[in-house]
Amino acid sequence: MHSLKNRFSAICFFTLICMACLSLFNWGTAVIQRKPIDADFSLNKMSKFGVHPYLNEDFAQFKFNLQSDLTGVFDWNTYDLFAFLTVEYESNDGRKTEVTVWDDIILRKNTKQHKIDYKNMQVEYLLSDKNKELRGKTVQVYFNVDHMPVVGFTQKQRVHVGNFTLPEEYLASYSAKRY
Amino acid sequence: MEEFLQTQYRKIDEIDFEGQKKVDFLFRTILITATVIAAIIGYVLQDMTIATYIVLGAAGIAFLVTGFAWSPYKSHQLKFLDPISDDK
Repeated sequence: MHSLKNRFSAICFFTLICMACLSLFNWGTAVIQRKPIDADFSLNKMSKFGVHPYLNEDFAQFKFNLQSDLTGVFDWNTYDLFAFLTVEYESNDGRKTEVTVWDDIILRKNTKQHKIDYKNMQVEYLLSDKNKELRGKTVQVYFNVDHMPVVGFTQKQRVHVGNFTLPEEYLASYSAKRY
Repeated sequence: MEEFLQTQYRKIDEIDFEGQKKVDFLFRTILITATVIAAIIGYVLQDMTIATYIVLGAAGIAFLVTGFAWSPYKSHQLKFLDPISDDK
């Protein structure tokens, strides 16, 4: 502590210790208080269901409504949120398959995004199955939120929002030209 | 010129033992208080950015207050014995 450089170094490192304590407090309070997520999902219309002409696998394309209020999920440890909708079903041999059909990055600064209200929204990614086992299958829909934290680990939250049954028969045959 | 700069630098550089004790207590008090305040404000406003700026600002203030050898840190200078001459 006798010289200027020595005092500068001591202050810098003590600031780091203080920041570490603050971060630990931030992470602890955020984990304890994290609110559960909630969402309303409903299938609007099954627009396409058939065999994909290029991929040669079952595919379904549908429109959905999704409402969710994520305002309360943002706390002082949340940097951004990664929200995505997954569809889960069991194949005929008993394996679970999960397909992501829609996703979005919800920015902290953009407060308009915090209330998700989608009506008649088209899926971003096709629900496809290479074993061609989608006909008549009941699928479970999950709404997932991944927290991108300021400090600590990525936290995942997931809620079951509904289920629907795919048609027993293909809606139409899709040729390469039409699709 | 170099000698002049060296004497000037020693004026803001060196402090006595009592001064070191004061500096040590002072910057730790400033930073711990700021961290507690930052934690409360950050928690109430749910904003980590503000909390971080409070701690960093306090670090700057702590350096201004305790970094340089201000006169209160030099008020207990050691008195050295007078040199004893060899020729008797």
